[in-house]
Amino acid sequence: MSQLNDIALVAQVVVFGNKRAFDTLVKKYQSPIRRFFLHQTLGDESLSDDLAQETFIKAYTHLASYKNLSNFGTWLYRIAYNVFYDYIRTRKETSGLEDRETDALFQTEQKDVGQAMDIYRGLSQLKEAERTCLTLYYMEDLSIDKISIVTGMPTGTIKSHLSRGKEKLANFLKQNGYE
Amino acid sequence: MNKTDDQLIYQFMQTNKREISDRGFSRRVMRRLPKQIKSLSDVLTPICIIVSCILFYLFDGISLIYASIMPVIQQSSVSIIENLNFQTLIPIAIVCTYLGIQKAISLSE
Repeated sequence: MSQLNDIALVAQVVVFGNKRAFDTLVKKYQSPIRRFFLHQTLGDESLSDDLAQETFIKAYTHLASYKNLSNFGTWLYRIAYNVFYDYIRTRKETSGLEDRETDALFQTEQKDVGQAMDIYRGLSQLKEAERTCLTLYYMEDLSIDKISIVTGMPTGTIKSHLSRGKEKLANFLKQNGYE
Repeated sequence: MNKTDDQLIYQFMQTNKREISDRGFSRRVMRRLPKQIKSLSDVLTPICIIVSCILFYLFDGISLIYASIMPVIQQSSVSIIENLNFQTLIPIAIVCTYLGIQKAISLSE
């Protein structure tokens, strides 16, 4: 039903240029998309919001290319994933930072908000690809097949990232008193 | 990887999963949207107009419209003349004459 609503809203935007329909889609998906960026950036809220805005603007301008092969949410995650990795690429090109250094940089920008800090500290133990797979799988409840659509990685690679990520995160959690 | 680790991570993730309130985010997105994307109707409208004009010309639309409208006009004008009550025209003629005289007087002054 929700999927049908999404298709109806997309059709209204594409056929009639109805911006209100797109506003409804933004309101519906803003929370998961911003949360996705929040975890990828290890809690940098303003950066997450900028990247989320870029995601929705790209979705709007490319809405006609949405073919309904996957559901609208998965399609949005795919755009978000590309936006984030484009950002990482340009950032690395300009600063020449490696993964770990980038993570450390993000961490200095985040707010210390008690328990929320633990998840960002935990996620900072992981490589970017592991973090993406783990958050999409455990936090956003996406299946491995859908993660494959979002990231463009083969399912075997995703399973490897999940396995390695789980091991690192589980060790971190155990060391920090989560049992 | 044992099941306990799986459960531990799932529980940890779900505990930290929070809904993010909009707080003007969607408004900011809507403000930043490009003015107009080419909607399908923008493309279809001129195409439909052109196709309609061509079909109208090919099927001799003017003659068809003329042929269907003329009998209606002729029939209605005949029925108006037949059913015309000249007594109803008298007050109209009086009013028009009065207004005409008034206008002529105002012009002569």
